Amino acid sequence: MATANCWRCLGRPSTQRLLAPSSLTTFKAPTSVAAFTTSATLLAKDDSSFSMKGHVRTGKRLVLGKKKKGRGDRSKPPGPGERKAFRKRIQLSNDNALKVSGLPELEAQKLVDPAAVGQIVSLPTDLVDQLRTVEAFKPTQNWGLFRSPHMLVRKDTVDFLGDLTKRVGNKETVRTVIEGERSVGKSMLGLQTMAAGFMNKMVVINIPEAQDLVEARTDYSPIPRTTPEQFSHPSYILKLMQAIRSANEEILSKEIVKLEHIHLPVSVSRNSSLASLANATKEPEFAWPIFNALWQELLQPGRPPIMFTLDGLSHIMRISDYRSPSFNLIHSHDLALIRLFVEALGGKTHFPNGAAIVGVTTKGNSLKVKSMDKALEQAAADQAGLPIPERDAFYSKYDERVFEALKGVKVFDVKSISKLEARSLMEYWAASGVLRMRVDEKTVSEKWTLAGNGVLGELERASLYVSRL
Amino acid sequence: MASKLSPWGACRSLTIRTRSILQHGQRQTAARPPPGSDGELPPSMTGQSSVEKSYTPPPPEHFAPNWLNADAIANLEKVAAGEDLFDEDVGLKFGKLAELPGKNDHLQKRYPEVIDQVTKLLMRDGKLSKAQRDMSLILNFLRTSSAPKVSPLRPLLPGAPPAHTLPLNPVLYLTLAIDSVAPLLRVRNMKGMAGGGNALELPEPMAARQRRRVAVMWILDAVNKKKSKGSGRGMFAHRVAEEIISVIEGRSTVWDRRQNVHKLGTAARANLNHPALLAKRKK
Repeated sequence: MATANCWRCLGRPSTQRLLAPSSLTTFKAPTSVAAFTTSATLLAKDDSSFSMKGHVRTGKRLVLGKKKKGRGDRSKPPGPGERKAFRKRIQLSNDNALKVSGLPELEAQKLVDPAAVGQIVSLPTDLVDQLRTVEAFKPTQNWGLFRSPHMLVRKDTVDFLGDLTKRVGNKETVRTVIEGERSVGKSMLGLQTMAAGFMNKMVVINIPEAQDLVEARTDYSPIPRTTPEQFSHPSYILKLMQAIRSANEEILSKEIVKLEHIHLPVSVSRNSSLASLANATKEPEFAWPIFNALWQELLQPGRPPIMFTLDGLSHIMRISDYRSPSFNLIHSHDLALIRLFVEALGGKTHFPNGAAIVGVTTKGNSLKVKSMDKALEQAAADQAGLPIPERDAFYSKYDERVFEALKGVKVFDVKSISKLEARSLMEYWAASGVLRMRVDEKTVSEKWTLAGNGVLGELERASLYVSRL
Repeated sequence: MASKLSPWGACRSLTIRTRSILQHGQRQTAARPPPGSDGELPPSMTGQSSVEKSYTPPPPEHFAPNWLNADAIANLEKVAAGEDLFDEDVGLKFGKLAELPGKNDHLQKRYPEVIDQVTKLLMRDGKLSKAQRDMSLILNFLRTSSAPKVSPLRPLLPGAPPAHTLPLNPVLYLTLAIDSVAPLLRVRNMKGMAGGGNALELPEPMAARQRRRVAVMWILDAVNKKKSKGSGRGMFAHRVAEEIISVIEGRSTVWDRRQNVHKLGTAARANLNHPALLAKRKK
């Protein structure tokens, strides 16, 4: 057996000698590796000895638990975001459904006229575009079954919007929370509110899903020089601002910038319109200052009234999933956009031109927020002139900021529809060819009862779906 | 029940039954091939040229035969003839007590027959309500997708309504797809009967429900091979509905499976006179 020692010299073997001098064995192009370490160059020697072309006993080896790949559908997988876009797509027409003629078109007057209760009205194309821009339509609503968008003017619509338009017309601020059972038509009433806003020449701002803002889905960044520290959603606000501009183009392009905006990162001239101010930037980092400037401009006297709506109120009445630089969870009300809404809803913002601030609660996708429930309960009792219910003395986690945000709001409870309204709706469905049955008193009564005494969403489920959904 | 107690109840029930019976009649036109074609091979097999007949909807059947209407009509006829309704029940103010319907008597099933069957075939792990949701999403998808273009190479059932009317009647759409692609027969393997340990293949006709089951299982096989294009709970329904549309349009691979079964069945016809089988029959 050969010894590891050198035959000629009788030096003792050392680790240094065993290492082959790299400079002699192979020539390598000088790399930018630091000179005082050799390990990287040693490790980077050619892998030819290590690269195995399979195991020595390939074919005899037992392979267990390996799935065979390359079977099934080999078509291109959907791109990023495509699957969600497909899930959330909103279809507003169905060419298969029959055209229902003879129905009146929606006007501003129709939404406040008690004589129009129970009528089905069609939405004018411009309004549909505007509502679509502010994302008033929801993917869960059944717009896609019918030829063109139509809606029912219900008693709640007339009650709510009649009061709202009258008070906004008197330059008052309407602060309301829309409540109601699950699938009773709260978001639909929100849509009708926005429709009224557009038709009455208000500047409509809509946050379609409040949970998008608090569940740490979109990017956020701290706003400098704010105490307590606030955070904005740059890309979300940019998108929102573009939606506001394109939906309210007609109004905003007529209004001229009044304030000095010297602190803004972009130059805004005195005579430019508010539409161009809203369109001033495509950079997400400038979105918040410009949005804030737009908001300040809208608050100036002599401007059109503002309608600010938000769907999914309970989501913003909690601590968000975002973290501050010190790794503390951020309260939702420290997110600047939500703060704007909450201050408006709580009555801290003064609107000289009148405004409608409407928060819509959800029941299908919502959290249990005890503070909000109690605050709304108290607001409802206050509204009805009943003794105000006390807070639970044994619950210590009430959030003062929630009570602050809902101070003095009106609560509008959306009720189920009457049989008369159900009938006109079912007649419309039947005329569209979607409901294939005779609509008479008995079937209306049957479906109305099946739908929990006229819960609108349940009525749809009972009549538009063949088997239960 | 109540209708048997008073004639006016019967009259009332007469007026309200029209709707469901109409639906029922329409459903039957789709579910069943016309009487002439019973048991025959479809035109694609026999080589006949398929001429699409013009579709005439059946006349509304106002007084369909069911026990509730039969009683009511009988009562009406009595009243029309000027007789008193309770002539025979002397001493009873409101006639005899109605006979209660039995435990398993249904005046009308809740869902159409095909829907019921297919829903249960869609069901996995016993989750029926999930299957029902899928079913209604499938039907709504059929409703909103554009009208199919029927391929002349893959003719649907004779007497099928024109394709552009299908989306508005999704139940008929689904039924037509399933019934058109359903095989007429199956091939049964008689173990060891061909001699030398070989199985003897025998064609066997199937009942309507069996045929539908086979068709749905084939469709589901094709669906499971498809890749989902989106996310969320509606995607399975979306894939099934797409497959149903492709069946109607003649693009689906399910048609090939049907053809293979029919070919095999035609070849296996010769075995019906196999000596082993004849000997078995004689016994």
